[in-house]
Amino acid sequence: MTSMYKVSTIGRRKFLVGGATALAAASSLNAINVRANESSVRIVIVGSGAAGISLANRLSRALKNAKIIIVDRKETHYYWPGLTLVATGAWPKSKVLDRNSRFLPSQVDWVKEMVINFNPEVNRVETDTGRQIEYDYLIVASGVEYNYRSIEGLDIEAFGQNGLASVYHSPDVAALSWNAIKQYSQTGGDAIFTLPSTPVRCAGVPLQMAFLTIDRLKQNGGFGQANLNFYSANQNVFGLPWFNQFILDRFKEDGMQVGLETELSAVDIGARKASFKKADGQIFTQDYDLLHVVPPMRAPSSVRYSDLAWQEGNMRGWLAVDKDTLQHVKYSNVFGCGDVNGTSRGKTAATVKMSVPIVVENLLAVIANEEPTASFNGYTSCPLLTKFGAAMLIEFDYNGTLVSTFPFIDPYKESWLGWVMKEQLLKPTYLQMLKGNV
Amino acid sequence: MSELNLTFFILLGYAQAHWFVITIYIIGALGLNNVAWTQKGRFFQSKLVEQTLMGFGVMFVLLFLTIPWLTGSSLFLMGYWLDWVLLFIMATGYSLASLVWMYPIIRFYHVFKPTETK
Ligand SMILES: Cc1cc2nc3c(=O)[nH]c(=O)nc-3n(C[C@H](O)[C@H](O)[C@H](O)COP(=O)(O)OP(=O)(O)OC[C@H]3O[C@@H](n4cnc5c(N)ncnc54)[C@H](O)[C@@H]3O)c2cc1C
Repeated sequence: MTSMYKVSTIGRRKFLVGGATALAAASSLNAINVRANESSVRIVIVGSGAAGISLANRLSRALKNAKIIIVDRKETHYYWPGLTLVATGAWPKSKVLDRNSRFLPSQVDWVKEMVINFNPEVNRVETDTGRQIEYDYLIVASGVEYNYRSIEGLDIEAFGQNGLASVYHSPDVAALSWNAIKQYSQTGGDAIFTLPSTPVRCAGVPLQMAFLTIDRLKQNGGFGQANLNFYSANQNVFGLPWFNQFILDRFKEDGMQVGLETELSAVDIGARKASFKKADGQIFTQDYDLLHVVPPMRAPSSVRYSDLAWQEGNMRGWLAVDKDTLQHVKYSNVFGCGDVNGTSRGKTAATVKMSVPIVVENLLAVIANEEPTASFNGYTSCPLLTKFGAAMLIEFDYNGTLVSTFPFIDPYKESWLGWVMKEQLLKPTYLQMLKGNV
Repeated sequence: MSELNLTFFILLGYAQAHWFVITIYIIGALGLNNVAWTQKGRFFQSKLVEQTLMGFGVMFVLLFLTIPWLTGSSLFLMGYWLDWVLLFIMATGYSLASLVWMYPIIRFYHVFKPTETK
């Protein structure tokens, strides 16, 4: 009885102290919000992709008096996570296309130009028409640049023909890639899937393309004649050891040969030959009937060549932000969000979903002359489709620790539930994220 | 709390994505029940409720067997216990939703069925 009483009083005391701390935190956050809300600051967001639009919605709600400007020429919105399903024939291209204007709040000014220069010393960006846009606060959300050109002989116009495929480039190329994959799935032959050494968006995608192509081969009769190869430029095919082994085992079951530390360096499109460079410098060439290319990725050139990029280290060229606060390491009025960030993990829409509220909270703090305190744990997630109808929901943080949104879902299990999440629920969630609701 | 918020917005987003089907469903349900209400006799009749419940059972079994296939998967890929829970919830939910169409349709059938001649 006494011990129970003790436990309950300690519990109650803890509860009261905890509650008081939470209240204090909430009221100080509220004070920050009020102070920030009163100011008529000028905020420029570069990029109207997943991160840019979501930020514009949240900021325009939080800062009624601010002038918010978003800069990006692109008017069509790509729902990138759907491209995997387009390139494997499960979705039509139309399902991944939308208009940015549908999601941008009316009080945000949209400059339909591209930024070519960042001048953070004078708080200004320059666009490709020569326009100078001044800001008090800047958020860079300009995504990634695909570097197909670093692969000698590769021509983007050739995708869809001669067995050349790539899910990444655009919805058009994803749809053309399905032509190549469909044909291959009927005849079989030599297939090669690649993974470059650079950071890639949604690291599960190159693997999904391999798994779903295998499934199509089985459905369309080409599996018996297929000779499958996966070349990763890294020491593994996936960053988390358990899942890496699971994937390698699954590949083995399907007869997929895996080559590590082997990077695609050149393609002879007409002759259908791909050349690879191994870590020791050795180069070899292999024939293919299907080549799925994952392009090397880097930050857009406007960021890469600016003072905003990391100048050294393995994230050189990517936006130099603090991994916890997502504030620029040199310019305190600059933040980064989305794929452009030079942080150790996380180029996914799931990362955008979790990091947008952190950026908003920290920006409001800085506007209110406070220290940014909200901390991002590096959350990232990519449903790993292992076949049509089944997927694994893998969510993890900067340290590679699994962090499940719904703790009752086991990330180690392939499930129909995972497939339903990816195929039916991910897009509605993504659209809610754009609107700033989740 | 954040999981609840997320679940709410996922479901809201899903409903928004399927607004056309949901609109047809609501208009159909309102129209059918409105007309059924104006037919002669009591609206709820135990014989019709019984038949509707049997219809519910048939619908549940049909949906239970076909939902995985309708979502591009298959019953054979349901290896995880949560898959079965989800399938049960979906089949029950859609079968329950079908009741608001099924009951007035069964009622119409009884009102308009040709009377048997001895
Ligand atoms: C095939 C594929 C499948 C994926 N699957 C998943 C998945 O299943 N789950 C998941 O969570 N994530 C997935 N992702 C990743 C996800 O789509 C991205 O991480 C997310 O879109 C990143 O958002 P962002 O705003 O940083 O970049 P984007 O959405 O690419 O937006 C960047 C914007 O910046 C603009 N921009 C670039 N340069 C400039 C400039 N100089 N001036 C002005 N504007 C500029 C661009 O025009 C673009 O509109 C996938 C990605 C791909 C390609």
